[in-house]
Amino acid sequence: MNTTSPLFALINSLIAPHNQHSVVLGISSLLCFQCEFMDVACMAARNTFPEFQEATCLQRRGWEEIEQEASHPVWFPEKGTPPYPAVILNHGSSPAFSNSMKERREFFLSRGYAVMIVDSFSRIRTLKYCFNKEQPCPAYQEVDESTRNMTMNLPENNLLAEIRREMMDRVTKGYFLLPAERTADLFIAIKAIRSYKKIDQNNLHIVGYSHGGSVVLDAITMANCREQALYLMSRSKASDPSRRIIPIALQVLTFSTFNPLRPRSQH
Amino acid sequence: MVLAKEDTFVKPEICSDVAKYINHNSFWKPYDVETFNEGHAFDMEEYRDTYNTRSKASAMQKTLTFIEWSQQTRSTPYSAYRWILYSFLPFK
Repeated sequence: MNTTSPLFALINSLIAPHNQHSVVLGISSLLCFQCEFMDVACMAARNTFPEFQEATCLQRRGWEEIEQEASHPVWFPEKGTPPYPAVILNHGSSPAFSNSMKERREFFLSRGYAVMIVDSFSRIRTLKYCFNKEQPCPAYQEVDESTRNMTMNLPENNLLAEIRREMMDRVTKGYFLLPAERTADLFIAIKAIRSYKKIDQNNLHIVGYSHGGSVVLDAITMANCREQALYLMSRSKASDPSRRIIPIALQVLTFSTFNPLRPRSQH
Repeated sequence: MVLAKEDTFVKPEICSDVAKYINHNSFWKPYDVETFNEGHAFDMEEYRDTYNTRSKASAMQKTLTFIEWSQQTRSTPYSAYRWILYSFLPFK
């Protein structure tokens, strides 16, 4: 059965254990028969578990926007000569520059590997997370409830650290920044690392920790599902592409057929 | 794939089963699974409850070994052994 159909949502709600969400999922599928599965799931989440809304109600975002948010600095080893083998490190739900991540970076650098860290909690994304809402996130409000402008007098790093702590919690609980969404950051990072002349393009490795490990698995799946994604995209009929999952997958995959398990020829 | 056996955030047995399933059904048998008798994030000093320096060093070294190993050209007998192992004994 086509898992994107509302009929699938209805049947799923009937056979699933009857909790509040499955009942609302069923009702939502009856109310909107023209919707795709993710639309129905989004509608149900709004009415049952609003905290999952950000994770369920997927939105299309352009590559340019994600690239602007992306941060993936590179470090080169002191020993050895280029081209260096490289390791791309994907952090978990804790920040990209925690002590542990620095330790991991130093470990690989000391072994002669160049290291790239994909920072999914980049400065721009962190600020967007806080201010792209009707109410700025609590960390910002906690700083000074009377006048928000005053908070800018504080060192920005302190504020960002506070906001990132909130992000971590939401990421860990699955409310925000799913592994599939972070996959875009990883693909952008891979594209970037391929532009470095000092890096051996046949010797690239990705290591993901915790939530970042799921990101790597999602990346492998998406890279291998490119053909299927294109096929599904060509069959999709919904008029508003901004609320479907397939375009996101397609966006992710169009510029990269990267398969981490398959070395590429140098270019 | 490095797993923590006493993980409270993910179910390591599911990860392990997925790795076995993929190894069984793919030609190249991509996964090696190494399980540590530790909790989640045992290699991160920020999480004192599960932090273990010895396991951390071991996990780092095994990751590096795997990376180096993946760049080596395997001998045909070894590749054949690995293929047979995961094709006929998927739950090894």
